[in-house]
Amino acid sequence: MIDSDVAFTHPVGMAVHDVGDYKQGPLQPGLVFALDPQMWIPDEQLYIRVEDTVVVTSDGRRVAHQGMPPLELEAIESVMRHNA
Amino acid sequence: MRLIKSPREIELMRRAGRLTARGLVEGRSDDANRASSNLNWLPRQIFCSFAVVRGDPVIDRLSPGAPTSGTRNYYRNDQLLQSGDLVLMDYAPDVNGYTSDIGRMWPVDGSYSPVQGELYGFVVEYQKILLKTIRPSMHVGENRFRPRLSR
Repeated sequence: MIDSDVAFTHPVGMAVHDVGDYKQGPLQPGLVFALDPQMWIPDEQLYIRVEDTVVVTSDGRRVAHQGMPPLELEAIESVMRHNA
Repeated sequence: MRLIKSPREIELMRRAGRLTARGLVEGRSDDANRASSNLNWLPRQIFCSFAVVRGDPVIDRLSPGAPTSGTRNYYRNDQLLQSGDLVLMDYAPDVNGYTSDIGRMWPVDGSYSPVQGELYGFVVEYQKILLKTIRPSMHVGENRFRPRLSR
């Protein structure tokens, strides 16, 4: 079981870590924030993170840069092979 | 600096996001596959920050100037890549004053080691779960925004 006390998010706007507190109230359409889950694995001496910027819409959410860059492991390795 | 962005602001951030995505893919040049190269191939105009993450004893919090001891955002840009490294590319370019924050981790060797791949895949799955959870009216402070994952 893995748990975290951290909400992996911060506001994005005119600054990459923008001002504003949205964690106390309900999310509203037009809110933009980064989603960046992170994992520290001391035993393996590893740190892993991915990060995307998300826009809250009236019916859910949209990744601000849909489809790019690749996220999945296989897609990243494919890009590496393609550019090698 | 409004918390709720207008459609115009969101469009600027989408443009910034597209630039960020391009930078992340194009920045991963041939040199990224070669151990012992440095990181100067990164496209400077969109460069924000990156980190080299590899096998040192302490992977913990930000440690400026010590990129191999768990630095998450490493700015000196003079660290040599080594076989087995993962490079965290964390980009956030501006477009007309607005930005978009994207991060990916590239394996210097072109493929992840089994352990790296398993853990990277785990974080990606976690990210996808978080994304599916987001909707208007929810609170990010809710426990469901911090899903517990069993393995």
